[in-house]
Amino acid sequence: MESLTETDSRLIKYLLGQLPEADRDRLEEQYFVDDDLFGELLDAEEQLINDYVNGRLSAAVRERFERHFLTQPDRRRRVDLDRALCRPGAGARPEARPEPWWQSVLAFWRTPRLVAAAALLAIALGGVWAGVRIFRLERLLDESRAQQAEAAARAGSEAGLANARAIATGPQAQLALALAPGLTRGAEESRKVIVPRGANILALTLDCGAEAYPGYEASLSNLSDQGAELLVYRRLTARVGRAGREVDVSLPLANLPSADYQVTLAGLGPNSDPAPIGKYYFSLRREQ
Amino acid sequence: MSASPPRKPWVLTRETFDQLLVRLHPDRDRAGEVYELLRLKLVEFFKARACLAPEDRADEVFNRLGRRIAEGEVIENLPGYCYGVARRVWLESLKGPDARRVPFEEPAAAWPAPEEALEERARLECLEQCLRRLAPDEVRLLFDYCADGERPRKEARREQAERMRISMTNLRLRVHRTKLRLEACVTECREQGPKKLKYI
Repeated sequence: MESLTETDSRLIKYLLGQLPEADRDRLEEQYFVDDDLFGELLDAEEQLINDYVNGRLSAAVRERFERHFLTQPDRRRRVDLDRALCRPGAGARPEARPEPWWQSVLAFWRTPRLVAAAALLAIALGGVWAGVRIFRLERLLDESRAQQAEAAARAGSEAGLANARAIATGPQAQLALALAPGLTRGAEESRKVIVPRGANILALTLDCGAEAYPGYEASLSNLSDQGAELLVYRRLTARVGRAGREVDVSLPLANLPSADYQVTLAGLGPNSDPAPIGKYYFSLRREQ
Repeated sequence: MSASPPRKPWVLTRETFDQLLVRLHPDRDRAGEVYELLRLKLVEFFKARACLAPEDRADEVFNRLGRRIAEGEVIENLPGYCYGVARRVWLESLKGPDARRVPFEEPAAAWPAPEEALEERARLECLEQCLRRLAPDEVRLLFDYCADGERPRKEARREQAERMRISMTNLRLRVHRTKLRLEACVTECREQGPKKLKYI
């Protein structure tokens, strides 16, 4: 973390719920009438989030952050967003994630040599995809650094986007399967999934009935291996799909052999045990 | 003694909202900014006190404020007054469902690893789509705002504000506004489920 002033320290304690009540009240009263102080609070919040996503918090502060600050859903969304937007290319944490694509875009804008190479690449790419975005990119480029030649920069950023997309999403092939509960094991209608070579994700859409829960839990068992439980997914939420309320579960295919599987879905309430919703069956076979 | 009928919730009308804006600042554009900043303070206040639906609570404060204004009450220090109303709304919330609230979600660190990787990928894909919907100057605003260079962050932001010829407060508001739109877009994108490439 950057060195903290006394005010910063007070603001961070406030955000982590560690200020004594009287100090908290005083601070709130102050920031309601003092825009600069409130600005500092927002800065402290940004800094805290940034330090969290970059692994710069001490273990104690990190734990406090997760147990207090992240209990608000919109704060979790903000952390997710900043994790993606603000993470530096050279990650401070050992499990560095791929560089976000937009950093590549900016890098292209800022590096004249790459701009020239990218121009060639953009010409080679061509196609509708590039054409659709050219208008927006031209506008983007109006904002780019003045030292870059406009034409070269336009082409450069286009190629940068293409390159970055590959970095962000990586090679993946996804299969999708919609399942309803009540299809019993071994029934004729039991769904079969033929997995072609290269497919690495099976996206299940589970019909979860009319009753809504704040959260859902799904577990995957291998019926061909004495019902061994392979994966448990918590923190799932439902969305309203074409067939009603649905829960999405993405299964990594790499670790799933050809076998019969069962997914068990349960609804979770804030203060109650999981409520069984249904069991879903499918057979998975690898393409020869 | 007969029980009084339940009070109908008072809702801010357009006319009262206009009156509120005039109280905030004589210039309407500037009043809009002051309103937005005040609302942001309210939301932060309710978040810090672990209230459910902090945005709704903030709106409730404005409803009450609008009602006072419509009734002709003279309010000298509007932000300070707002703070007082916010405290009352918070105290009332302690008698409601918030008081029995138990954090439902597990901390982020407990998320299962296999899903996290997939979630991360899906999030990035949605983020990419949503960033493309923003205007270029908004994209640049966000990138520049979170640039984590060698200089202290505060200094970098001050320079950004100077470059844009706006105040630091205005810069923060713009970033906040843009992030809110981006978050809403990403959330909507995520709720629509993963892009299905092949059906069996």
